[in-house]
Formats: sequence, structure tokens, C-alpha cells
Amino acid sequence: MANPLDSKDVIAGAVIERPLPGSHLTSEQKATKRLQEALQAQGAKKAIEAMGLTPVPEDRIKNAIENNVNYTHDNKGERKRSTAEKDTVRDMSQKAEVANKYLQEGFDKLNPADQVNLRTVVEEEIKKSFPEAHSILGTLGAGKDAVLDNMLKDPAFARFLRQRLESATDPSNKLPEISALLRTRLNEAKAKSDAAERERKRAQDDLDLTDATRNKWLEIDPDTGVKGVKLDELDTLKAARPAKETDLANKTVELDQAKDDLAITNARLERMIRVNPTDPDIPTVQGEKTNKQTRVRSLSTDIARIQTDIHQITELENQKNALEETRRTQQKALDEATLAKAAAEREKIEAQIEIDDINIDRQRTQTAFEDKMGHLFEGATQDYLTQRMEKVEAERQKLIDEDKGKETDDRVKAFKTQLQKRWNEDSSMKYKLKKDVVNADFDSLMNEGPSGPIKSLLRDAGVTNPDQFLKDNPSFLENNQSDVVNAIVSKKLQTGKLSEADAQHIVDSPWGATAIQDALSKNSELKPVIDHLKGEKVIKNNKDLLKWILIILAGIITAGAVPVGLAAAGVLPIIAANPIAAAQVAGATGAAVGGGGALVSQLKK
Amino acid sequence: MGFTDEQKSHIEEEIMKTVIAALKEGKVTEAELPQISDFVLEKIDTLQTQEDVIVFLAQLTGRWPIFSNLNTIEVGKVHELTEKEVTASVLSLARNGRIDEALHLAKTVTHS
Repeated sequence: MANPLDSKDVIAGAVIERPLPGSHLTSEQKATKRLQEALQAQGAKKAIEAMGLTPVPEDRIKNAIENNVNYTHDNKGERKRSTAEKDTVRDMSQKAEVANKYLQEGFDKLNPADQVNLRTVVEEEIKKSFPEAHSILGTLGAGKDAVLDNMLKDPAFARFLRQRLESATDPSNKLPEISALLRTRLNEAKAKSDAAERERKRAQDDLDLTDATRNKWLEIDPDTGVKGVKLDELDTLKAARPAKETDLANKTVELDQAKDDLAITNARLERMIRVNPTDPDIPTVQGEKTNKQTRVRSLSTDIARIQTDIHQITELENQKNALEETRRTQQKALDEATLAKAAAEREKIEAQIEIDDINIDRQRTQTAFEDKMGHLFEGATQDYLTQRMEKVEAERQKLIDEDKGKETDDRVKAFKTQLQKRWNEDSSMKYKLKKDVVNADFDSLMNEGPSGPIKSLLRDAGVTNPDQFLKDNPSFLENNQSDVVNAIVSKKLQTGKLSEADAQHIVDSPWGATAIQDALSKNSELKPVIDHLKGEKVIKNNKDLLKWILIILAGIITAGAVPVGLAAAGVLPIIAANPIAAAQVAGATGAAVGGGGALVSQLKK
Repeated sequence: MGFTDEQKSHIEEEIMKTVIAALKEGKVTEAELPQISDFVLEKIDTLQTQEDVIVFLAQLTGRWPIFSNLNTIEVGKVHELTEKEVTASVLSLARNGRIDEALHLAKTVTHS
């Protein structure tokens, strides 16, 4: 059947490099040209890989930075940024630019400063996540850069970087906005609170004035302790009141008597005048009358004065009561104003809390964004090495599955299941290890040899008496110890560093040598890599030798293929994946091979 | 029936031709390329049988219709290849006098 694709001119042209019209190519035209070149020069597989190196669209990056770096609004509602915020925008843009340039043109086209920087970033990440791998990198001298460059040139690494950049610039991530409605609510609550405060202050002033008056006139001033003038008068009047009331009663009686007396004198005088107007005593009686009238007036005046004094007490008490009433009214007004102020303040605080929450969320969003954008290459390094370990782990699982398929003893099957699951985190989607279990098993291996962890595995596989089991099955330990040793050492290397003493102990022990021998015999593809390492003198001394052996050991046990096995240890993945690269890197070092002993002889076989 | 390295290279090349053509015709955008790349790279090395290839191409076409022609052609080729192999087996069985077996095998093709 003819392929209609081949019959189309456009398809024929697709594989022939030819310049596209116009000096300003669209991104699709640029991509077409790039893929045509890759297809012609490197073949279809590399061209498919090159598709993955497509840069993330500039608009997407620009929008992500615009929407994830903090800003405020000016009076016109336009976004504005502080100097620090503008610096962050610039920093994020530069990081994205380097990543995109890397994606578009490859590591080789980056300027030397960026290349050096990226090597450092990747190396630091390896140092942080895979310290043992980093220590090996350090033994390579100039070859270290070649290893890092190979990693940075790997399309697989670029794919992870693009995924990281795409994730960082996900349009759904943006700083949450503080809505105009919420801002208005806050401003209104602030205005309401201010108005309530003014009203409260006015009520307080009124009350203070009343209090001041009261204190000055009718109370003892709490500040000065001075008695108010009116209070002093009132107290004096009150103190004199009983005497005055007695005096009033007496004087009232006296007045009544004086009036009666005057009336008698008046009657006598009238009678004398009527009988004898010239009576010589009349003037005398008239004098008496005048005296008595004076007496009545005097008493009346006294009584009036006393009554006034008594009445003054009532007056002063009424004044005091009126003042208290005024004060109560004012206190009530103040209480109401205070409550209104509290309510307005609560509204203001609630609106402010909402805004603060949004601001916290904005800060969190920006921090997450900066973290992602600021660590694109670090993240890609993690993804890249983790994926390699996941592949190795999958291979290890597959090999054990095959072994299990051949087993008839359920206890041995359960043991091998433990060998598959024991160190892996179950819940994680990513390949992760239970570091505490790895360390415990490693310590057990160092202290007791393989029988220690093997007994633990058997116990967890449901064998109640592992010692008896091993006694009943004398070949079990021998048949399984290399798998267990290699698995534990491999996991140890993936989760941390080996001490020099532990490394030496493994190498010097019979079970360590056996494990290495088994690993070598099970992996024919390992030999070329070993030959490279020996022949090109990557291994410079006994210390290097130990490290390399353990790294290889760790890789071998977790994979059927040596390259993947090396990668499993998190070490020199490009060397592992590419023996030619290994030779290139190895060629960069030139020290003599050192060391000796049983393991050297194993390697030299 | 196994999926050979030669077939794999052929499929890869046809995929690239299709993508380049689609880019020129505006049927696919640059932004879609990484997803296509990831999908193909993730799947292509896991294909082991002709049935795997058919499933892979169907999935590819399901996601990006630009591959529908490729799907049609390659699936046709797989069927053609299967028929040829079965025909050869039928003839071989017939030559050896195993007529019933030959007829039974022939039916598996004509009924598919």
C-alpha cells in the first residue's frame, strides 16, 4: 500500500532543509526548521527528542512572572511595583530566559558564564541529594565537567527542565487579588470607625466637663483632694440644720407670742385713744407698740433667714441631683458611642483580616513561584536522577519477580517479596526509600554480616524462627546473601554516604567479595565499563578503588544492565548510560591505579 | 508477531514527517510538540508486538488527529503483514497435508 503521506509535496519538503521565507520566522516556522535539521542530521529518534526541547512560550512566562510577583495598584488602578519587586521580576525573567535559551538552543549555545553556573547548580544538587555520587565526581578532576556537561546535554534532562518550567509558569497559579469590593468595605469600615471615635470623644468630653463641674462644686476633687465649694456649703448647712430647725421652731413660737403681745398693745392703745385721746400715757404705750413691732419684724426676719438657709440645702441637693442626672445621661451616650466605635472597629478588623489573609496567600504564592523558577535546573536534576533510579528499581523488581516465579517454597517467595518492598516507601508515587530501615539494615550488615539483615527479612516474611530456618536450609544464606548485600549497599549509597571504614569492611569481608563476584558474573555488560575505569586510570588509588567498587556494586544489584545500574547509585549517569562518554571522562584523568587485595583481583579478572 | 527495530525506526520517521507537515500547515502548534515528544518517547520503547503498535497509534491519533493518516496506513500494514504470515503458514500446513489445521488458520484471518 502506498503511503499517501509520501506523495504529498509538503511531506517531501518536510525532510529537505530549505530556508523559510522572511527574516522573522514564527515560532512554528522556527520549530519546523529545527526539526527538519534534526531529522536530517540525527535521525527520527533524535528529532522526536528535539520536539521535547521546545521552549516554553514567552507570553506564558511573562504572564506568570507578571501574575506571581507582588504588586500594588496606583490611583488609576494600574499595577505598580517597588524597587525590590522589580528586581524580583528581573531575576525571574533572567532565570526563565536561561532555561528557555537552553531549551531552544541547547547547553552548548549558552554563554560560558551560564554554562559554568549551570554546572555548579547541577553539581550542588547532586551533592545535596546524592552525596556519595558527588564525592565520586570530585575524584574525576577535569572529567567532572564532562560528566556534568553530558548530563546537561541529555535530551531527557531538557525534557525535565521544560516540565519544571511549564509547571512554574502554570497559568492557573497567580497571586490572589484583593477585590475592589473588599477594599471599599475596609475604607467604609475605617470611615465608620473614625466617625464613631469622634462621637465617642465628644461624649467623653461632655462627661469630663460635667465631672469637672461636679468635682469642683459638689464633690471632693479626685485629683486635688480639695472639697468643692458648694459641697462645703452644703455640709456646713447640713451640719447647722438641727440647730437652725430648733431655732426656727423657737423663733416661730416667739413670733406668735410677739404678734399676740403686739395685738394686745394695739388694742390697749386704741382703747386709750378712744377713751381719752389726751391721756398722757398714750405716748408710752405707743413706744411699747413700736418696740413690739420691731420685735415682730426682727423675729420674722430671723425666721426668714433660717428658712432660707434650710431651703438652700434643698437647692444645693437638687443641683447635685440634676448634675448627677446629666452625668448619667452623658455616661449613657458615651457607652453607646463606645459600643458603636467597637462595632465599627470590628468591621474594620474583619475586613483587614481578610486582606491580611489574602496578602499572606499572595506571599505564599510568590514564594512558591520564586522557589520553582529559582530552582529549575535543581528540580530537573532531581527528576532526572530519580527517573533513572526508578527505572533501575523497576528492573530490580522485575528480576526478583522472575526469581519468585521459579520458587516453590512460599516462605522463600515471601522473603523475596520483602526484598522487593522492604526499603521502598509505599505511599509515594516517586521512588523513595525508607532511610531509617536502610540505615538499620546497613548497621546490621556491618555488625553481623549478611545473616543479620537476612534474619530480619525472614522474620518480616513470616518465618517465626529464622535461625532454625537457616539451619534447616543451609544453602539459603549462601544463595541469597549477595542479593541482600548488594541491595542494602545500593540503598545505602542512594540515601547517604559510606564511611571509609564501612567501605573497607565490606571489601575485606568474604561476603563482600562474593557479592562483587556475583555481581560481575551476573552482568556481562559491566566488564567494558570496568575496563574503561581500570584502563583509563580513573581509579587512582585504593580509596578510589573502594568507592568505585561500591558504586558499581550498588548499581549492579539493582539492574540487569550495568549502565542503568550505575545510574541507580546516582553516580555519573551519563557515563553509565554511555560507555563512550565513560571513556571520554576517564581519559580526562591520568593518575595511576592503586590498591590491591582480593577485590582488585576480582576486577582484574 | 514481534515489533522489529526496523519497524520502530520507520514509525518514528513517519511520526516526524507528520509533525513537520502539520507544523507547516498550521495543524499543530509549537506548544504541543513537547507533549507529542513525551508521549512518543514514553511509549515507543515499550512496544513489543504488532498489537502494541496498533494500540499506540490509536492512542496517538486519539490525542492528536494529525496522525490519523499514519494510523490508517500503519494499521493496514500490520494487517497486511499478518495476512502474509498466516497465508504462508496456511500454505505450509497444506503442503504437509495438515488440511484441517490450514483451514482453521485461514478462517482466523478471513474472520478478523
